[in-house]
Amino acid sequence: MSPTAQAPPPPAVSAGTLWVRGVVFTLVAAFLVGAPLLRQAAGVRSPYLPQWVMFVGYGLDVCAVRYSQLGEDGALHELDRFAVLGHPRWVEAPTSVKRVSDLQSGERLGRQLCKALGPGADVRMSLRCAARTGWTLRAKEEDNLCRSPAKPPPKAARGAP
Amino acid sequence: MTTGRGVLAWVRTAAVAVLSEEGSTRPAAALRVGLVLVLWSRFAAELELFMGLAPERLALSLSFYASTTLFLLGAWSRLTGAWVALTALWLHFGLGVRGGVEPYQHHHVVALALGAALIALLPTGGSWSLDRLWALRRAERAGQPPPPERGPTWARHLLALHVVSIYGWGTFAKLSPAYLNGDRFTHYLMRLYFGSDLPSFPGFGALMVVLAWSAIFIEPMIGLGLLFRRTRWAALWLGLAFHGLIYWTMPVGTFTVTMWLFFIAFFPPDELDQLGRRLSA
Repeated sequence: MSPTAQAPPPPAVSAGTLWVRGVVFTLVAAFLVGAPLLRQAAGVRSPYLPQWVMFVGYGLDVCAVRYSQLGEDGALHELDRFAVLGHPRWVEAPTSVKRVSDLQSGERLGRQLCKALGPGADVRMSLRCAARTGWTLRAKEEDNLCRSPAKPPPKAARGAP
Repeated sequence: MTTGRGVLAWVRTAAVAVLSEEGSTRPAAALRVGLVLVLWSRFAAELELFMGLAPERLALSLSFYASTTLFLLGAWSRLTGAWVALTALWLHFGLGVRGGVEPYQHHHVVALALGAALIALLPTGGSWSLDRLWALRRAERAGQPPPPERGPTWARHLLALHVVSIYGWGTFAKLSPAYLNGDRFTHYLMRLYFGSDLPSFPGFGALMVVLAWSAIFIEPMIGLGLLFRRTRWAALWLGLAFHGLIYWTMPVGTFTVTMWLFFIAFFPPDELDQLGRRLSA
């Protein structure tokens, strides 16, 4: 038997009940629409106001990297880091080789390439990292990653002026 | 002036129609069961008794398991629905926002917690529940016919508004140059699939722009399409496919099934009830 067949005529809802429902409905509807409005459009920063910003912070830990080697002809030639580091199948390479997440991890991977290529290698890195506004240039093949980093200047002696 | 009065009269008529709406309780029961299953998928493993032995953590575990189990069974559904809602809201606002537990601040947790609060306003125990069984027994003992599976369903419109708000503000959040020019979509795919090697095949940049703009158009189409009778079923299929594809390709957790579940709110309860009976006949 369908509920329609079972059902008696819909009971009249009292005016008081309608008012209570109306108040609840209005308040909840105002929160559902108004909270994200305040947070996302009006700039109110309260974390208690829900906002609907999916994936806004996702993927910010990835950089687009390109390693190059300075050839004898004086030109830069792109390096296949997977082949150099012994991972012929890209999909099976460890994440640390597949994904560079910032300048430090890019330089670290570059030094691994230097080590694998042997003495005298000249490896350069071009690096753009993800940002909320798009891409940020972090390195543009200017420095030889195989050169030992310059030693930091000695700390001033304690008590020196 | 006449137009103003006409608009007011229309608003009043629409408000009374919404607030006095009654219908089959079966869709609300489906929401009850679905909600508990989604809550268990998201939180149950993290709230097992041994996961935290501090008194407040034990209390939360007990509250979660007791409330959701009783609600799933449909026992004292009005009460246990509110209990489930309070527990879910506490997980987001208490642990997530106030306590700084980052995963509980995510949009899929907020969507679920607010949805639980709205579902608690529906007659969830009117069908497929212990409440229904007890009501039938009471009627039998009193020599009365079975009580109708009907109840006030006005709160389903709030759940529908919740969904529309998610789509609307979710679209608004994407209206940034970095999203619209495909950069952010490129970041997602590199993070998930390509690593740090920017794909170099022809048209990759254009593909990213197309994918980004597709989401900008599809999300409002689902939200708005579900509101109108003529477009509702098309929007439903679009929504099922869209969220299914995102679940398959991106880490969205329980957000997909949450939205699928909440789609129930857009359909008049009697229409869904009739459909269910036709399918099971």
